[in-house]
Amino acid sequence: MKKNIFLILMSFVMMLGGCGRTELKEAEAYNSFSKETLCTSALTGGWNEEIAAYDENTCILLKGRIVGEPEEAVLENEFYSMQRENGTVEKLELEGIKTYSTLFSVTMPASGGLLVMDVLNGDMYRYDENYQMTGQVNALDMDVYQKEEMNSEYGYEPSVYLESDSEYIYIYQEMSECMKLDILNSEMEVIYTQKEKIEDSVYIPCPNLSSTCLFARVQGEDVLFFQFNAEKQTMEEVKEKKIRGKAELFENANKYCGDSLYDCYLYDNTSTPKTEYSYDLLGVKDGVFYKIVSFESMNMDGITPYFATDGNGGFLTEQYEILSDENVYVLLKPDDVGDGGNLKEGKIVACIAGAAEAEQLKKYASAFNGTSDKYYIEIKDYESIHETYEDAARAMNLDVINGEEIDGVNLYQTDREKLIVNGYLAPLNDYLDKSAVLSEETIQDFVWKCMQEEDGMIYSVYPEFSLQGVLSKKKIDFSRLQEYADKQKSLFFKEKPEDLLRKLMRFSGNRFVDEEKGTACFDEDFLALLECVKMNSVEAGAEDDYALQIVHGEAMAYYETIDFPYTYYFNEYLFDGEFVCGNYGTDAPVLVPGVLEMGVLASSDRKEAVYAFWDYMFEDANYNRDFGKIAFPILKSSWEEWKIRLTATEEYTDRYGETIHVGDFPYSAGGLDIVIPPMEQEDVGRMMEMMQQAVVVRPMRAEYLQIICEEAKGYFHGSKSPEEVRDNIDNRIQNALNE
Amino acid sequence: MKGKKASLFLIPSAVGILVFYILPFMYLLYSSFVGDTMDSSFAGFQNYIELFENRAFLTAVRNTGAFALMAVPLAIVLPIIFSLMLEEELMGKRWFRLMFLSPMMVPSASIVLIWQILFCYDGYWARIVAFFSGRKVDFFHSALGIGVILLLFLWKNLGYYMIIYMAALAEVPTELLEAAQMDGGNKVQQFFYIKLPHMSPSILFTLILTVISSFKIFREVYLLVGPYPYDSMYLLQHFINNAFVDMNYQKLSCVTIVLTIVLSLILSGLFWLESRLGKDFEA
Repeated sequence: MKKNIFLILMSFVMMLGGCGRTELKEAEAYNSFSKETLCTSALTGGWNEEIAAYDENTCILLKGRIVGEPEEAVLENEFYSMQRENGTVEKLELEGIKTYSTLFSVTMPASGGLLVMDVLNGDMYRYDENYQMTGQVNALDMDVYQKEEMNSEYGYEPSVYLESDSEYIYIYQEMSECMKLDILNSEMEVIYTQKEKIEDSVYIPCPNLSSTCLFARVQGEDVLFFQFNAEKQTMEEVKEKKIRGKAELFENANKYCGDSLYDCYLYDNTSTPKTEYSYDLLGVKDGVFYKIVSFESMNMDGITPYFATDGNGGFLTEQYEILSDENVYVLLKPDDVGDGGNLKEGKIVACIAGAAEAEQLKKYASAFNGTSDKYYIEIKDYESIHETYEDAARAMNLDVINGEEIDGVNLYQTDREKLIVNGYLAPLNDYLDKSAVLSEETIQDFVWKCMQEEDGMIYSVYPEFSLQGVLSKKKIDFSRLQEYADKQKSLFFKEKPEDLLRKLMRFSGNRFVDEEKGTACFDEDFLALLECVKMNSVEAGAEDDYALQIVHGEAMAYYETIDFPYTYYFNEYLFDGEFVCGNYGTDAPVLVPGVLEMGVLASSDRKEAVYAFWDYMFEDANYNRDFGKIAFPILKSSWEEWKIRLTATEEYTDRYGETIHVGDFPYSAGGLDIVIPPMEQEDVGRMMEMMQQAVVVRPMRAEYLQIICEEAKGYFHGSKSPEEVRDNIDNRIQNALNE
Repeated sequence: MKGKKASLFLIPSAVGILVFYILPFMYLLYSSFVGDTMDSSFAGFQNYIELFENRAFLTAVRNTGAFALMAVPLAIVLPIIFSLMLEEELMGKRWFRLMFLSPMMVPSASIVLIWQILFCYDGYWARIVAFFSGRKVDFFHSALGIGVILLLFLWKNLGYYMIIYMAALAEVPTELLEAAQMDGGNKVQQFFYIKLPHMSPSILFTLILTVISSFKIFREVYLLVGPYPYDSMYLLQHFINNAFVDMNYQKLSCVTIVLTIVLSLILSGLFWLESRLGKDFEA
């Protein structure tokens, strides 16, 4: 009796287990990897490349690029074979293959040789081990819709996947109204066809290097696996391979050919926000997920979704190096005794927390970690695990004040001033005095001035900056705004009054709120500002094209962020040759640090690691390859480069060997499309002159701005007088200042 | 031996109290005497001096004190009156009871929405006042703001206190009330000489709850007027919350210690009162 009860209980427990979800386990086969750079792509500059097919010994690389003028552009393809052992690359001349204006799908059957399908005309070519053609057949059945799309001006890229195993060839295509699977024998004759309109009924081939191909089919939250029974001409479910509850992960991830160790491999580098499996290579075996390696922890999260197993636990991956603009083929070998690609060992490890642009920081950290013998930088990425920047910054702030192991901090969206006032940020003056890369000599004078606090201390550095302010043809006297409002139909570009007020107040310095003295002064000027904003504004949803309003003379000024030289040029065009930039209370453009503003925590005892990282980041060649190219750079050297680039009339090679294309750049803003020609020396001079006037004004605290805009709505919507609004703002802000 | 064994069983609770109450409190105490977050230098009573010189803190203390002085008596007396009313055989008694309890079921955000509709500048109450006085009243931007919070506090809590009192009233022995009735005691006498003494433990319990919650009222007020309200609505919890947001741990620690001391003194007084009244009642 007792035994029966035990059995019933056990079966119940097993039943519950059976209903459960697929678990993720650590891989049992190996614990760590060694990383070896096998080969670096020799073909860069406009070429895209991918690992198109592979077996245990060889990889077929397919490179493609667009050549010719836009109207007559054609796609050019080249095939290469790469030996997996030593990375030797050899160009393939494949008979019959048209290398222009077509797309290919490639597979390497286990029986040897190569199969190439020209996707656009449906021809499939078979080659032997020496890449000699042994057969050709038209194997693709395109429907009318696909053909029409292909011929359209937008160019249709049909989704066709060619797979194979030792017995059969599998062609899977997503057609306009259905999905189709063809199974061909070794003579390239179709022996089985399945067309399905419903996605849940489709069999997706999951090939395997060492056994017959499996077919996956998603059913609700589960993934079922099937095998083809040639005798019965049916698909038979392989029940023990069923994946429970992880269909979404399976569908979203890139899928790769399996081997004797795993049924298939998955890699997800696309999910936003990141999931718990992002950048992890997962193996799937009998319905169980195994985490094989975290590419992120190996600083390889920049790998492209091309990946090849060698059947013995080793993998070949392709990693794009942003700094060198190259593809690097990296061989990962299972290695229980090696450091598993862990570059941290024996180094001083410092952590930089970031709520923005973490990916860019990671790229730099990855490159730095590969070169530094002494330091290792970890980027703690709050951005990808939180919905908004604000949430990320809040979580980061809490970790900073709770004394988490953080050394450096990216200050974007953080309460920078609060961190300084409460002593969390360390002054950087000593570092900047000693650094050969970042110093008073290397940083542009006006930026250096703006970096300093009133007491001369510097708490943050940033690679780029922008200028903000009200742009207008003639200087605006902000203390007499009401007069403009009376004379002109509209002073400012018409937008929601709260938005305009927020912009105008943000950099008003201590004109209205003086935090140091703890006083608020909302006087007659503020009333005039309120009135002016109300008169110059429209309700949400109304016409809001600032460029057309300025061009048509309906508005005199608008608030703008000038973040790179072409924006400057566009505004010169908008204001007929020249313009001025001012702010309420400062009458000058305000310099705003870029997103990657960084500081060091006073509590850190690994500050030197962060400083070494900055030295690497701001090193001439590294800095100019990236930051100096797009936004306004802080380094003098980069600015010299900009001057040449902006005024060049002919294509040239810069001092880093990069070809710089010049000419007329199309630029669109608001309702205007213009062409920006090479700038004149005078334009550059004027731009520089404007920059040199820039001042740094710490933005008004978000809480005060919130109070002002919240209360001002009462006036803008007509329920309160400006005086009432002013009194309410004054009362609330004074109370806040008293704190 | 028995005592030793018994104390072994107390260890888990004692560890819990030590880890989750005493140690954090000691850390808070330590923080309040530290000058700088990063170098942890000893600052003596400087943080406390600065706190008592802080005008916002003084405003918050004044408003919170005034609020507690108004809220506590009302939150004690009104539920007693309502529970006595509901004890009688009234028409629609069940509906009244449900009506008083409903604020407890409504989420804070919804309560705040209702209050905004009622008391905002163009709200119903502002219109009613304007109709009779000819002048619009801005409840959230005037001294009347504290009254709005008081109403909100009472509206939210009356139902709960009423349940406690109704339970206490149900416990009053009916034979005592019948005897009083036969001896000619009227309703008022019955209340003061029989019901009130029986209710005294419940009254003291609600008194303690009310005192604590009047010092800690924040959630609804924050949702209603934000972190920096008009000065008449600025309470101690605003000050504490803003110190936290500003990452000013020293200020936060000081104000918490001060609040803890004040509340402990008040509660000690109440517990002393409870023990005295309890003895009287038993006697």
